[in-house]
Amino acid sequence: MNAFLWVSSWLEGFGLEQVESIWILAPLGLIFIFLFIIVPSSMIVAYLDRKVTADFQARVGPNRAGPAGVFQSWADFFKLLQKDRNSEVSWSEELWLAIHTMALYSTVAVLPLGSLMLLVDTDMSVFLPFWAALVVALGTMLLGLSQKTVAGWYGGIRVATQAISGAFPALVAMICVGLRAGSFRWSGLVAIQGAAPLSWTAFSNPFQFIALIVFLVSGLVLLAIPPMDAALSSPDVSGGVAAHLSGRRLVLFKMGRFYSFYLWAVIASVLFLGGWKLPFEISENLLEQGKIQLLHFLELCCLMTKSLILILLVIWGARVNPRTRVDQITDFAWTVLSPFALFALIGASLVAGWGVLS
Amino acid sequence: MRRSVFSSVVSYAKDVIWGMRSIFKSCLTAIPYLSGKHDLTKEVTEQYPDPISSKTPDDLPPRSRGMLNNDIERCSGCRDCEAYCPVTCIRVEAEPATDETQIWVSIFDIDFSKCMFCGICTEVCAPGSLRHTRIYGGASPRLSDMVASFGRGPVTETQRAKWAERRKQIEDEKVRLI
Amino acid sequence: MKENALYLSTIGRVLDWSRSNSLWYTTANIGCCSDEVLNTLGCRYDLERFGSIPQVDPRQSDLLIITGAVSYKMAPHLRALYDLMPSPKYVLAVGSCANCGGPFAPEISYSTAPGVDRILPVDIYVPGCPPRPEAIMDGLLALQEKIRG
Repeated sequence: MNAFLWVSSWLEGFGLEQVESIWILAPLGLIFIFLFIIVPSSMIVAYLDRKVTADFQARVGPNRAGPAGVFQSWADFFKLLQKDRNSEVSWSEELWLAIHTMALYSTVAVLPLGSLMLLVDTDMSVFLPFWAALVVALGTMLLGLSQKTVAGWYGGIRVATQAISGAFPALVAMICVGLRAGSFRWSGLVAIQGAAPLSWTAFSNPFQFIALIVFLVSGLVLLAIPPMDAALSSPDVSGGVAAHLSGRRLVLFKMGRFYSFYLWAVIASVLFLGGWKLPFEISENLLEQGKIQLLHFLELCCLMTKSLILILLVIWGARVNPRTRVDQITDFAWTVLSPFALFALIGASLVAGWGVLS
Repeated sequence: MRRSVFSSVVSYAKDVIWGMRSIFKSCLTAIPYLSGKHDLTKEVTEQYPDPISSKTPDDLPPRSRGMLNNDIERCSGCRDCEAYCPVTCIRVEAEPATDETQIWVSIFDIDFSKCMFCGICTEVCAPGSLRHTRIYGGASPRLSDMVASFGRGPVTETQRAKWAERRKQIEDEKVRLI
Repeated sequence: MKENALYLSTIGRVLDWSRSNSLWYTTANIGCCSDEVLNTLGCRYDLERFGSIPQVDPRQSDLLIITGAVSYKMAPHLRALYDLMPSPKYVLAVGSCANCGGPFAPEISYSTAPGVDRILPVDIYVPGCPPRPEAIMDGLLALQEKIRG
């Protein structure tokens, strides 16, 4: 909220009231969020995905756009922005794509990026990205159904099926963490964890570790990330919903996919892996000295390292295993992930009850 | 036959453990590819236009058929290649120079956009002037760029006059000998 | 005015660079040169180094790689494939059949178009029967040069 106050006081210097200035601030904030959070995060994930995949397949990967191909995602981005519009897109498709995109990008408001970078820190802030993911799945399904193509229809139905089956275990795994922390605030969830790995929620007891695994895998199912992307993959349904999109719409869709992957990794590392906690009381010392910018930066680095390692692990698993068929995914989610999530919930509640009694 | 609850739970747990083990094992198989020391696991990519780790035309197999090259000094202008070419991509025009042993090949065009690199023309070439090189590539935005000309060019009037003079000399010598 | 022109030309160069470095392609594998194209996009001659990745749908691709002789029956479908691609789009004709009919030239075959350029505007022709993967990469590089101008 620092930035908000700073910009509004800056605008007051031009003679604008606070009420008027919010109309300038809101679009500015949206542009800022889009340019500095969504675009870079999806670029990083896209580049990592391509390069690590190439490494596992004993080839080089993109290496001619900039040094070691680091600007490859930017080249793709600018190229897709230059493409012509597709004349066969109907208005309903535009509408559902817009809803899908807005639902995805609204999660930026609750994105935890550090102890001082929490825009919204309510009692239910853990659940907001989760509901957004469900709305994204709904939007994707209706986007597919409104396309009037076989690939879009099947892709849409598959996205919805996957999302429903992945949502339940993810929700239960989230409740496991909430039981230990006693609240669903980002700050509360991180406050009970320490910087050392043994004081993270995931390693506090075996049930939380099961909950971490369940949360990660069900996130892949919920958001259709490889290797659980039978709903959107090119060999299965020839791109599914994305087969009909091109140019700017494809940018929105693909960036949303990469951003959701990134979002899930960030949330998993905040819930289970200590979040932005720095060791040796660094954060307290920095707060006393008033070096807030440095604190922001260090916390962000800590969180990003954890979530990038998670992303790399998921890509690793995705590239060496075959893509799961969609019926196998739903079967797996209902018969393996859900029982394990419930088992972890019972265990976590027993542990929490034991802690209260003794 | 109904299984007992206990045995079905055990088989379920076995399945889950087996699945986790197989995923873990397949993840481990990818590790050697990151370091890439062994023959099977190192990067196999030939980075063609870059100087690093790319093959040169000398590494091609000995009988590889690249672009055709005609050594016009040795070419006899017999037109066998033109006759044998299955896609008619060779065009030869020749005329006798000073005598029948010397032939001026004015046009020898090979249309590489049409050529199918079958190698028949090199097999029938009696003087052995037409040969496959190891050059590949040659992509271009125009089809006309892909026609390679090996001919000596059209005969000029001064040359023709010279030849006529030389021919006359030879005839004269023959007459004198008789 | 002059500074403005410089500025715009820089932006244009960046846009050209981005277009030339991410040529996503669809392959119209009609002939046997597609073996070499598939070889080119594999591990050995990794076409992804140039930022090109294969796409299943022509709506997402910028480059149409055509291999093989185009029969008159195939031509309308190929044209439809080309028309589905959104506008900055390029065509790479690979091999003799795609260039000008090759062994299926009109004087030999009755049902084949003499080259893809009778149906679509072709940007780069790659000679060879079939061309080596290096030759196909050469064609891609020539196309990148052409886009950058």
